Amino acid sequence: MSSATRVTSDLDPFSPEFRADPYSAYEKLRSLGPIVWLEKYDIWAVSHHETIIPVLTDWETYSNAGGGGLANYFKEKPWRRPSIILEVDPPEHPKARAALTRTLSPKTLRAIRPRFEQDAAMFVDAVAGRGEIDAIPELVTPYPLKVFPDSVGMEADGRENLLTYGSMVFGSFGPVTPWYEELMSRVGPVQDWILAHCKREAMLPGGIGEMIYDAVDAGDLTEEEGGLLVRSFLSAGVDTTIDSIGLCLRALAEHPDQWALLREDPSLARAAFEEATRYDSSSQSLFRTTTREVDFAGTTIGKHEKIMCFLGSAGRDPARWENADTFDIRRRTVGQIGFGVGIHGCVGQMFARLEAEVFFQALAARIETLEPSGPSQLRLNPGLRGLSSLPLAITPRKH
Amino acid sequence: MPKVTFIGSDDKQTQIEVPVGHSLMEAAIHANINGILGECGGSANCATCHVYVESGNLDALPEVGVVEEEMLDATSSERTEKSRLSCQLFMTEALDGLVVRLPPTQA
Repeated sequence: MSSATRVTSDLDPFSPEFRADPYSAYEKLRSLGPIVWLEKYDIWAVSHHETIIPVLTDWETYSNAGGGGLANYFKEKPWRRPSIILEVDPPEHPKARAALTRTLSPKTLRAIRPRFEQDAAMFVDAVAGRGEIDAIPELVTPYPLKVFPDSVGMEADGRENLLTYGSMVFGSFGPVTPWYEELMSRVGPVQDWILAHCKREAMLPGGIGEMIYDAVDAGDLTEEEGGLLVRSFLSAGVDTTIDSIGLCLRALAEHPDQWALLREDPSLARAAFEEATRYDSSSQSLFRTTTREVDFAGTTIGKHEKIMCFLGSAGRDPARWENADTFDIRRRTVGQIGFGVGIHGCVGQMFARLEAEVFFQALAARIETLEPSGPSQLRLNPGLRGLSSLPLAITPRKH
Repeated sequence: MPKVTFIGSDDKQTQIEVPVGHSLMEAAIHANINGILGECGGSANCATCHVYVESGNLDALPEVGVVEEEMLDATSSERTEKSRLSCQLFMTEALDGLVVRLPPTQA
């Protein structure tokens, strides 16, 4: 077990209060020291940019095989077969990572960009003249929910299952609560639909799903591994980008000076999204599990103990960022870790950046004013930060 | 501290000290060297820290990993036998004196 000298906190990172304002909780956590024991869940927490990076990159000590969330797979049985990309360490990991890397490479992205541009323009045009909208259901959600499954090569019917399944996957990263139990009461048909849509015969020609099966045919993966990697696309490809784009949109709406900069120069779209990923990432925390007893900045961490790494706190760490709480789309953001870092850094991050860049360029080209017209609502998922509602007043740009 | 020289596509040479264990990408970003973007922060995911290794103790370079191999196939500038991702080159004493050239484009 852990050292007697450990610093302990009663902070609950899954509580509604924490969710409503994680950033003041992080400030307190950072002030307590490099590593803190969260007694409510018997887990460790790291919250500084400088200390999170070694935990995320030293996979020999801080394993992913213990599970992507709070549940400790070294001690309890997971709800689904563990991911062969997220929840596995080397030497098994690089094979799957290489196959995914190929399908999501800059080469693929250069080819799909024109289709993203067309779709982003279509969704922005559909709301531009509406005056008041709820941007999450009416603008943000439809875009990734179209472009991502289109890119994988999925049929058009039933795609709402992706949203439910994504909620389950990221919901399972937190504690078992009545919310989670209610969600999981519907798991059967959703999981069946997902697994059927991971199979080779479900892939439409020309998509990245088909590229995974090309890797199977080349002997790089087994048929079953191919299916599990497509499952990873379907788990992690939609909710994450909806949440990231939604949070970036809120940040722009709440900072009119920053929106004005983007509107004047739409080429800042990619930088705006990068800054939003530092400022308010959809991925606030990641877990690792120790493979051995380890000394961490003077505190002894036992074997098979969970460490919660607060990426959201790293983005606001004043030791790393000047004016860390200021949203500044012209900031030099290189080195921000909102997508994680190391061998498990988000494999779809370039895809997400492209989706967002194209979206915010389309928005800046078509929308003049963009202001909050009511309070936004956070969604209730412990594994992802995102919005369920973002009321905006918008006016179209005069050409 | 071991040193690495970066040659820009304009032939401008910059020599920097790189702490052992740090990647060349991180060091280049830290030193504000133009021509390295490192957008993914070192996850071998963006191919925007591409370099051509020109000279030095080449035997001390790590092997190209399977993930780096995929990314080198997707670089913006042409891949040659000298191509590496600088985020996958971690500094060692043995690599002191390495010289790398930057490609004309990264994205």
